[in-house]
Formats: sequence, structure tokens, C-alpha cells
Amino acid sequence: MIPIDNRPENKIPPGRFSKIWIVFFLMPLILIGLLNYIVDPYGIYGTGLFKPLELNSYTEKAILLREFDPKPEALIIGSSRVGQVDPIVVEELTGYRCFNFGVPSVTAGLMNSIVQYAVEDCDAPIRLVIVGVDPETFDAKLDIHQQAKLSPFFNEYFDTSDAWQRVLTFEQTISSIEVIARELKNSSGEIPDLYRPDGFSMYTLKQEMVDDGTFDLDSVISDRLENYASKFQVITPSTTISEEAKTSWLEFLEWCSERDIDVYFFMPPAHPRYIEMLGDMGSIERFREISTFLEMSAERYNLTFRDFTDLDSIDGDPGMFWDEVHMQKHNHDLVLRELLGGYPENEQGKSE
Amino acid sequence: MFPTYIFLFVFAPITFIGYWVIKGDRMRRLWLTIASYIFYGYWDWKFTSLLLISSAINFYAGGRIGKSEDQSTRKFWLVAGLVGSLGLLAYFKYFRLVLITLDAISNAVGGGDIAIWNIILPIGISFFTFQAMSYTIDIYNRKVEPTNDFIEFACYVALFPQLIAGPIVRYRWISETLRNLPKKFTLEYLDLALFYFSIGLIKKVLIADRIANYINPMFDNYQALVPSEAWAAIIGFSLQLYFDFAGYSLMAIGLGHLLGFKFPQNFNSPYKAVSISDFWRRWHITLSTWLRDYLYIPLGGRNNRLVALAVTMLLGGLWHGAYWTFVAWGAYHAILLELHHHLQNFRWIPRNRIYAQLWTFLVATIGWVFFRPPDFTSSWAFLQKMFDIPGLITEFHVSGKLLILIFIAFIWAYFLPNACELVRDRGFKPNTICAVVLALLTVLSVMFFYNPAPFLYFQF
Repeated sequence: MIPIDNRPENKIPPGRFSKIWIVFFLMPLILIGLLNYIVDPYGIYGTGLFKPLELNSYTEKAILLREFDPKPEALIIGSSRVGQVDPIVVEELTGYRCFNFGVPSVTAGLMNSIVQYAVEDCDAPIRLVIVGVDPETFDAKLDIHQQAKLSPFFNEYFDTSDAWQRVLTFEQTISSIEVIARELKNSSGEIPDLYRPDGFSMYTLKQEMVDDGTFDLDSVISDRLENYASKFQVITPSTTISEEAKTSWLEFLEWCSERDIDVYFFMPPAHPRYIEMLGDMGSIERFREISTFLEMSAERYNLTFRDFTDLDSIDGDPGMFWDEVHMQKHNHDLVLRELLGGYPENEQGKSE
Repeated sequence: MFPTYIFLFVFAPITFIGYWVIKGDRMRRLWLTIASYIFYGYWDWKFTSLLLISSAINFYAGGRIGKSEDQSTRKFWLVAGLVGSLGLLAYFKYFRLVLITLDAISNAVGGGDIAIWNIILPIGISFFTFQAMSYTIDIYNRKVEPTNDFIEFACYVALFPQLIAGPIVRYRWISETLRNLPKKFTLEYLDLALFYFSIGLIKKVLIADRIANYINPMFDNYQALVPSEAWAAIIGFSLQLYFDFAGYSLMAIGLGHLLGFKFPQNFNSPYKAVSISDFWRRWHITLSTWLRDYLYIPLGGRNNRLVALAVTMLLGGLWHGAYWTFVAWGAYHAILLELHHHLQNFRWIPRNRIYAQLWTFLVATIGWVFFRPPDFTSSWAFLQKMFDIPGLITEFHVSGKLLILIFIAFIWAYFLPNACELVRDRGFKPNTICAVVLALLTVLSVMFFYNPAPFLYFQF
């Protein structure tokens, strides 16, 4: 792997190795730094010469929310698991115009940032927040999603003093190359419609498969459950529940409470096969622990919380999933009707 | 701390330029000491006082031993120095374990809960404590003269390349260089420095950290693993630990060369070992020789082999961390070494070299089951997974990428000569292609600096 030539005539004089090493070390690094700075694939440095690589759900949702007019009064937040919680159904049930800001692996701290962004940066008169709380939100190992860190809309909520360090990263270099390749192909750079204008996740490709009758949910779940622990974050009996996440969650509720924003939150249902796997792993107790904490937080702020982990609690359909945790609209509608079915009339009255 | 932009592009250049520009040995030692304290303080400045106290204790005790010819006085100051050093180590590293154990016993016998203090473990404390202690013991054994320059001694204890994860360097090995620092920067040393540093960095970032990305979630969620995954995880960890720690040691040796110091080799291709005793001659050499010289031999060595071996290995295990699992790991190796000794006497050891190497790799790897999982419950569950033979045969699921990484790491560890071997045995004769390849792989390593995985041995 490392060629070492023992032939005396090939021995290079002292210092030659270092000179070559330094040149071949510094030159590529400088080029990589310049490339990433100029192309700026995530829009961090503001050079603006190329259209950023739009693969960031945080950025996309932030743009959609900013452009959503009239501004929403209700917000759906949570991880990608709430992607198909339908804002139209929320509006039917509450009378509030609604936007879905479900984004990958949202942390408790980020939930606050998202609502702040809606209220303070987008001037949305938010009255109601519906939160799908994944148990993984409280896993001490859950880090702020890379997409959130790289989203210019949320940079102000994080310490970005290390943004310059990203200028040399492998990930950013690959993205820069993708941006240039896109430009060379003269591609318009249009992203496919992943979301409706109200943030509802379209699942276009999978929906086409459902329509064609080629979508095989059982196989999808089997594939994902195989080696699950090595592929995905999962709550286990040894998972440390993050005190920091709990504090952030309570701060989030406090922040909403101070602004008279009502919060309805729930633990989303999961597919029975997934629940069975968690049962085998002995994780269900941890779910209950998190559920108890959420219950307590609801009582503290006089809010509504429902634990829908068990699909039967909403009389849901096990066939209406995209995989083991992502539900289709049908089941989400059932969740909303259970959660908001008795939405206080006085709340609707307040909005009028 | 080495694979960070701040170290590579700010700290290291400033420190090295200052070191070679400043005139006068005293000023240069002071510069190096200050730089090393800044390096340590970057983690937590409050603990630099601990470094200072540890240095002061051993400097003073060593000085008093050196000045006295009276054996009882010498012994008194030796004991005082050791109690002071080990007292700091015991408090910061082991006191919490004592409280946890007392709490468990108290609960078991129906007593009340015992408050468990949250004591922060200072980074690298085991390394610099052992390093400083070796100075005091060597003076007592008349192997080295004490220094009367505190800065020189503080510089030795805090020398940043090996401060937080070794190699554990003894004062007598570098005292001459410390006293008469090299005046001229040589290109030969720069060549060697870049050679060692880049190989170390590549081992750490491109191999160890990549494996870690796959196996850490597996260890976190070990309940969900199938037997083949459990084996892949533990073999992956075996290689990750070696590449991580050996990589760090090589970087330390390389940085030492930039300062004109020659640090000892810490790993000599341990997975090429043909027996478990051979493994211990190749794995973490500066610790195993430290334990041999300052613990095993004083306990009687071969004349009192069983007791000396048991105590050395159990304490050697405990050195790695304040968990009983580390003691179990030490006990496991003590049993293996004892077993090997008897089998060797009866000539019941594998004759075929490859078979012996694979067997040694296997038993060393099984031992990591006590090292990596956080408690006995997890270790036991992990062992059950690994030895679920029907499950192993019927369910084979391992990530293809992890298998490729394990394969590359194994080939490197098993077939290629190590960097020290290349320099020491074959002479350092890299050609242009070698320089280009190493430089480009170093660039690739730098591209993975953002969010680096911490060195595994920092926690020890």
C-alpha cells in the first residue's frame, strides 16, 4: 500500500520527501478549500455564484414556510414521521390554516428553533403547534441533524463559529462536485416536488408504486428491520435518556406557553412488527418512561398529550405505512381525529 | 486532539516555529512547557494545575531521594512520591468506582444509598502519572540522576506529543535530549516526522474512525444483533482499537521527531503475534514494559510468577479504567498467559505460524468483549450472541462495507510491515511515489477532521 523502494539509486536525498509531501499536501488542500468556498454547496459562505445543492429538508421547509401565504396559524412539527400529517385536515378540525414542518431527526432544541423561526422570522401568527414526538428525541446520542447545521435559515440558532472548518470536509467537497456536475449538464437544478406548498410530504415515487400495485410493505419492513440497530437510531434498554433534551423540551413548552401558543403533542404509532422487535429488545419500558415524562410535561403546562405508540389506540391500519415508522395519510388522519377531535371550541372562538 | 484543524494548522506550526527560533535551552524548554500546558488546557484549563501538582510531587520526591544516601530516607521519599501520585490518580480515577461498589454492597445488604460523586476524569491522567512516577522510582533505583531544573522536569511530564495517550516515556530515555536540546533542525528528522505522522493519521482517521462509524451503533444496540454481527462488531473493535491507538502513538513519535526527540515504539504489529505472551511484547509496549519493570519484577517476577502475573495483569486492567470489566479483562489475559506458560512447557502450542497467529488474534479479540461493552451484563450478553452457534450458521447478516473495512484493516495489520519496522529494520528509503501517496492520503484524512471520533485511549 505504501511503496518503499529499497534500491539505493532510488533513495531520495534528505528533505526531498518532505518537500514533495508538503507540496502534495498543501496544494490539494488549498484547491479543495477554494472549490468549496466558491461553490458553497450549502450556502454557508454566501458567495452566491452557484445555486446551492437543494437536498436539505430544513432549508426547503424553511423556504416553503416563508413563501406560504397567508401565514399559518397552526404548525405541525416533528421528525419525518409526521411528514404525512395533513395540514388540510388540521384546518378542518381546528379552523387554523396550517403548515407541516416535519424534518429529519428533529431534536427537542430544534423544535423551539423551528417555532421561533415561524413566529419571529416569518411573522406567522402561530396559535397552535402539533408535535409528533419520537422517543428517539430523548436519546442522548441524538445529535442535531447535519441538515439543520448546514441550513442557512437555522445557522443563527447554532454556534457557527466553526463554519470555516467545513470548508475542507469530504462531504462538502462531494457536494461541490455535484453542484458543478449539475451546472455542466446545464440542468435547471429544479428539485422534485417532495412537499406540497403547505409542507405535506408527497412520497411521490412510493405513491406511484402503491397506485401500480408494486409497493410491497412487508418486504420494505423486513429489509429495514434486518440489522436495524446498525442502520438506525433505536431506543434500547441501555439507551441514556438525555436530561438536556428533557430540559429543551420543557423550555420549548415554556416558550409556547409564554406566547399563548397551544401545544398538542403525541407519540406517533409504529408498525406492529416494529413494536414486536422493540419488545424482543426489551425497549418498551423505555418508551413508557418517555411517555410518562411527556405526560408529566403536559400536566405541568395544562396541555394535551396522547401516546399512540400502539396502532390499535387509533384503530389504525397496519397496511397504511411506508415503512416501520412512517405512516401514510390514512393513519395520520386517524391520529389527528383522535388528538384534535375534541379541539376546544373556545380555541376556535379565540381565532375568530 | 491531533486530528483537528486547530492543532494541525494553528497550534503545531506556532509551537514548532517558536521552538526552533528561540535561542537558549532554558527558554526553549519553557516555551515547550507553556505550549504543552496550553495543549492540555485546551481540553480543560482547570486541570493544568493537576499536571503541575503531579510534576511538583515527583520533582520534589525525586530530588530528596537523589540527595540522600540514607536508605530509609530514600525509601520514605519514594513512598511519599508514590502515595502523592497514586493518591491523585486514585481520587480522580478510582474513587467513583469505590463509591459505586460500596453503594451496590450497601443496597445488597439492605443498607441505604451511598451518594456517588460525579468526579471528572482528567484526560491522560494515567499516562502522565505513570510517566512522572517512573522518574521517582528510577532515581530510587539509581538508574538516573535527578534534575535540579523544575522547568526541565515539568517539560518532560507535559511534553504534548505523548502527554495524553503515550507512549509512556521514561525520563532517563530522553533526559539527555531534554538537557541539551537539538540546536539544528535537520531535514532527516522532518522526513521521518512527516512519514510517521501521516501514517498515524491515516490509521486513525481513514481506518479506525471509519470502522467506528459502523460498530459503535452495533455496540449501542447489541441486543438487536445477530451472532454474525456480534462477531463483526468485536473483530471490528479489535482492529479499530489497534489502528486508533497505534495511529496516535505514531503521530506522537512523528511530532517528537519535529522537536528532535526520539520516542519509543509503542506497537509492533501486535496482531502478528504468535502467542499471547508475544502479543504482550507487541501491544502497548511502553505500558507493558512499565508494568514489567515497576510491578512484575519488584513483586518477584519469575520467582513468584503466579502472584506477580496476577497482580500485574489485574492492575494493568484496572489502569485502563475504573470499571470491574477492565479488571476482568486483565484477569482473562492473566489466565491466558498462565495457560500459555504451561502449554509451552508441554509443547502444546501451535507449530504452524499462521495458525498460531490466527489463534492469538482470536483469543485477544474475544478478550475485548470485557473491554468494550460498559458492564458485565452487556459483555455476557455479547458473548452469548457470539457463541450462539446455530444462529451463527443460519443467520449471516453483516454490512458489506464493514466487511470491506475489516478486510483492509486486517490485511494492513497482518501483512504489512509497521512504520517503525520500515525505518528501523529496512532503513528509511521512501521514494517520490511514497511521498505523494502519503501526502494525498493525509489530505483525505484532513477532509474527515470535522466531527472526528475521540481517541479511544484518551479515556484511560
